[in-house]
Amino acid sequence: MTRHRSATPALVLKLARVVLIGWLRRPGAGPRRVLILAMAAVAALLAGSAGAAVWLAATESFKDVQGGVGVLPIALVVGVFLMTMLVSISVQGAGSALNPSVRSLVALPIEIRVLSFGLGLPGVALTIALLALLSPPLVVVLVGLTGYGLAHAVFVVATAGLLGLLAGRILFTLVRRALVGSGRLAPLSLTFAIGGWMAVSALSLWRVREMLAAGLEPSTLTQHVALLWPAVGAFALDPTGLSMVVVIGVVVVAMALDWALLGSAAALGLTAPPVVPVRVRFSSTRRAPLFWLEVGRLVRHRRTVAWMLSSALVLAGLIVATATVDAGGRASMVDNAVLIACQLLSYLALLARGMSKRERPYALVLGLDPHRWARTVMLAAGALALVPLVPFLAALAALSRDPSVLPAGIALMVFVLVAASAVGFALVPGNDNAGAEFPAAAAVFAVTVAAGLAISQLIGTTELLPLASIMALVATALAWLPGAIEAARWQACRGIAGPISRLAPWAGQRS
Amino acid sequence: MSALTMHPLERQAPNAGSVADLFVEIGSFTLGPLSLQLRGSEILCLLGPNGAGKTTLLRALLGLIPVARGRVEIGGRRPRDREARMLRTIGAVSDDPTDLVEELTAEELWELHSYAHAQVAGTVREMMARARVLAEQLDFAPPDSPIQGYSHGMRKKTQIVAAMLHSPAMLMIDEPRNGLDPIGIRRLEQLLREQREAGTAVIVASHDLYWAERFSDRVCVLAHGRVVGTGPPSTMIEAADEDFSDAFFRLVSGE
Repeated sequence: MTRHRSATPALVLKLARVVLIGWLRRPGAGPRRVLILAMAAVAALLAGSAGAAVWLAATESFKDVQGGVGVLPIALVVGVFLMTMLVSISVQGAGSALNPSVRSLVALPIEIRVLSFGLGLPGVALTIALLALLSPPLVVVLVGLTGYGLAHAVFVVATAGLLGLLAGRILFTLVRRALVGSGRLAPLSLTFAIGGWMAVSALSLWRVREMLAAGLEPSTLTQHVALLWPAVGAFALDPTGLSMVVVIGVVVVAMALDWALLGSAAALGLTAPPVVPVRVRFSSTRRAPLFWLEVGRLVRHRRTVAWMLSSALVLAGLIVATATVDAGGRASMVDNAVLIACQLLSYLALLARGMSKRERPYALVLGLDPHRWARTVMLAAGALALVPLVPFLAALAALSRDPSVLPAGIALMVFVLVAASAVGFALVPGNDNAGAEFPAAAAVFAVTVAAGLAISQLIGTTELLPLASIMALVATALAWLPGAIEAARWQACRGIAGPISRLAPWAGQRS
Repeated sequence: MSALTMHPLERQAPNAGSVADLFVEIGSFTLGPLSLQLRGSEILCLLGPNGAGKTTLLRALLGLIPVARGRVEIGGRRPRDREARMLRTIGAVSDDPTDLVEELTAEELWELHSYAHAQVAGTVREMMARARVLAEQLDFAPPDSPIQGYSHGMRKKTQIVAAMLHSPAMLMIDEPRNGLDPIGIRRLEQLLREQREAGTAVIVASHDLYWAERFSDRVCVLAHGRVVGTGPPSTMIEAADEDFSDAFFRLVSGE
């Protein structure tokens, strides 16, 4: 293909503008709503990060591994790496929802690599913007915790963020390229990439913990660097020395790999819609037909099935990790594993609402009661989440020799389920709104951590069973919330202003 | 009651509903002021160029869009209240082929619709029997796989059957011919004529002039959100040398 090289940057920018305009003009997303969602995403990020840091400090999770290296700085830098990686994956997943516009652009005489890069650029810019917003408090905390100079702390956070961004891009593109040949699995790139991210997270956190437990000295971190570049950046590097060159080299190699992967049409993710086999049939004569209808929809949807499979893999990994931890650290490991499992499985509740149209879901068209429908969706997602959760909790209970893990885990799941349903009904992440997935997941995590901290302060204990039981009671009392949000949306659809639609215009929809 | 007879509740003819001084505002587009009588045993075609407000009017009739001013009433009830008894009397097919529960098969979707309507009147069994008859009339043998994999035409037929299986007193179809092959179009026309004979108020939105002239009892021509002409197609022709398409272009251009 002949093209003046000087025209390429302008073309890339024009393509990037197409994607940006697409984001801003998504169905049901007016500029005001985009702003509100962006602010909510940033707030969720900040709240989640701060909450996670306080959570780590407040619980005794790492009590047994406090050594020469403080745990909080490592957790913070690894957190930056992992969160940036997740944002990067999530944003690319949102971009893949623009498939129709991508299809039309493919016919243009533009090199695939340029097309891929241009269409991905807004995602990179958005991720960097989010990182920049998040950076000041992180840098301040890092300086306070480590005594680094400001430039060193900025370098460490930027390195962790940039590596997270590149890791997310590479992982997503690799997954997409691997799946694009499979018509049935190709649309699930985002889910599989997030599954991959979860695996990276679990391994990263596990390695951090293992190394700290071994009384690791900063200089030996380089011997265990797999998945731990952020930690290397934080503790083993002198920004003026040879090690800095190594990190910069890694960044350059990652960028080159990212660029190389964009050269295939598969990177664009042009895929056919999934066709799902019918295994469980809907029948109106069965008891609670709407419940089974929603269960059937979740089970038939490749996104949710793939998510359940990914979660099951991670849960199995958590069991293995728990089994390998010595008896002293196992209790705190179990608590964290339960929290992670509940977060993972809450994704079903988060995505369930998005499987129906945002503006006119089938329940509205058929004249069903919004409260009843929301309750049904929530129960269906909860029932499916229990399928892998119960054996997982039973295994943890056996490993920790603490039977209370089972009821505590189920109680925590009740809370997370209600939180995820409420967020899912408010933001409607999923099929036609993949861009909302990340802020929604972050919001659920932030709400769970914040509620856990608040209740533990109130009752004066961090024991999981009493804490989770009270959280479950709170959630039960708030179980009406998803239905109220949906009712407000339906009222807005008909031009009826209710109290919720006045207070929260984002819960409604543009007509 | 046989599978193909109507429930007494569904009978609203001859005055099936009305629209009076309707105003709908969507961004910079305004529909109205608009008044219209909806009659049973009649095929009313909403005609107009793209963006004239045909789909918006149908959504207002279904209570799925905020009405700024005016009154919409179907069978004595306001659509915006979305009462189950009112919804039981309406069948609607949108022009969006994704307006379906795509994880279900066509049969399952029809059963879901039957179940919802049976909460008010009738039985699932009756409505499913009617659905199968309707599918046969449309020459549609739905595959036992999720709608997600259906073609545009199969989706349209699935939507049409779902909208008619409860024998509605008012049937609204947006762009009925879109996605259908010539055989499908002919079968649908036959089906709609049968509905009209049975007393149903059939409202279709289309931009196909020749089809509207041939097929409808009355047309309502919309342009820029306003009614610019209404009546039987033949009465809209003013001059001897004018045909229906000339009349249409004269009306929408405001000459």
